[in-house]
Amino acid sequence: MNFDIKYGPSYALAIARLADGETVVAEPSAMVSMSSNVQVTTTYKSSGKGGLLGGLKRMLGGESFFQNHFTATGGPANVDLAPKMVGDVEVTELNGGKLYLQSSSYLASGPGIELNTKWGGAKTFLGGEGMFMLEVTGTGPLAFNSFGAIKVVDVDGSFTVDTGHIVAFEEGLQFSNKKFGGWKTFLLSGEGLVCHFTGKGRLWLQTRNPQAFGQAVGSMLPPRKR
Amino acid sequence: MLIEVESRPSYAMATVTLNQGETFLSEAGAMVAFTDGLSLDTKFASTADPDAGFVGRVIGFVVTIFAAIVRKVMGGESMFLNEFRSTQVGAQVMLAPALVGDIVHHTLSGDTKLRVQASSFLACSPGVKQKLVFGGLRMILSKEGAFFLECSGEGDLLVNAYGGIVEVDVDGAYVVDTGHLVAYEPSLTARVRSVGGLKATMMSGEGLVLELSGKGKLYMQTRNLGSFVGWVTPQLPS
Repeated sequence: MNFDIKYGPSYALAIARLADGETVVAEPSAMVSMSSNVQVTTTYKSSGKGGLLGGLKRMLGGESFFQNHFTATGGPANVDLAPKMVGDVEVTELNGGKLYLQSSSYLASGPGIELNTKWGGAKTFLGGEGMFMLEVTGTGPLAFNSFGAIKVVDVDGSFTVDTGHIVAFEEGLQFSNKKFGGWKTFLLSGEGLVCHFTGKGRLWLQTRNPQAFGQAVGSMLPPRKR
Repeated sequence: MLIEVESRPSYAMATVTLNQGETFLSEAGAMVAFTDGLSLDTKFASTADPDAGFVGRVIGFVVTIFAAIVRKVMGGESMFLNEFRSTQVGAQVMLAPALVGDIVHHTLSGDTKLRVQASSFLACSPGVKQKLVFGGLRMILSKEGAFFLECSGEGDLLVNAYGGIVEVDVDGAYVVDTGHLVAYEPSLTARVRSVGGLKATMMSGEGLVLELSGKGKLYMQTRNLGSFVGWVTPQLPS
């Protein structure tokens, strides 16, 4: 199974190409279209492991309780998958390593990939993002999406990112939340808390910040009715 | 200093690479990421003349604060700019606007100026001076920001847009919808006028337009944020 990405970075579509008997796992409602010989099963299991608890934990991570499994039967097949937000899709191959993924960025994966919800600690909560991150392990391809384009940064040493721009990072990187500059800068700069990464590993950034976009457009929209 | 803009036009992001001791100023909230070797500071968006005497500086300070408040209230821009100062060669800062769209890199050579719609200013090098200019009473009627940042001096300027950016070299006269205006060189004379007769003004959906005449550069955006909000609002659940 492999993914082809088309129409990026604006409106990226992931095309999963399956040989006979192969399976791709995707988040619910991601399916756009598919070959007619694809069999769909919906489970709350994370790749055969985790069971009910795995599903519940994934829900805490901001992901759906359920996952859809698409299996090619009686010949090869394609499944077209799209994320909810406008932006890009990136594919990376895991070979027993570990990756941390911002919870709303999971799109699809091979059946050998496992998702676990990782308590990011109060620090990620303070960072304005979800309290939980997805810990991705196993072997196989992983497709994840961004708001805006994706920029790959190979960190060796240290690197600082606005919390709203983080998509994913490899386990070789440690992070801590820091103030942006001194107290004056922290309070007035409009940046607030940033994420400081150290170590060696790959980091994926998104070029737009969902919260900043929401504030820019939201201030022009009529107030929400209760 | 090296400025690269990637992921154009949908989700443009600028990466600025600085030599030791160089600085770069960005709009508050524009920072995406940065490397080691940068020190940070936050300043009032200054319109003061640093070469003025003591009285001149005091007046400049008062004007700066007033201009910053006007910027905030009228232009929707932050009162503050973030300053990134490089303490080592090759330090980088990445900058992006809040809205989806393109970034254009405009160079000011000292004898040219650029008037930027206040919400389109993203970042600049320290040689760029900013002055708040009032676009005239009729600009208020046009629903768009009535204030422009007039950028002068020498250096690099990053301007962002909602949608793609179209660059037009005006020679003669050119008409642009006020909601699509990003920036123009003040060597062009700007006049807000109605699009046509009374019927066209009321019925065409175009309202007021800006007529630019003379010779100079104009930057337009391919989408209009006011129109987008008008379209998306009835689609939202109540």
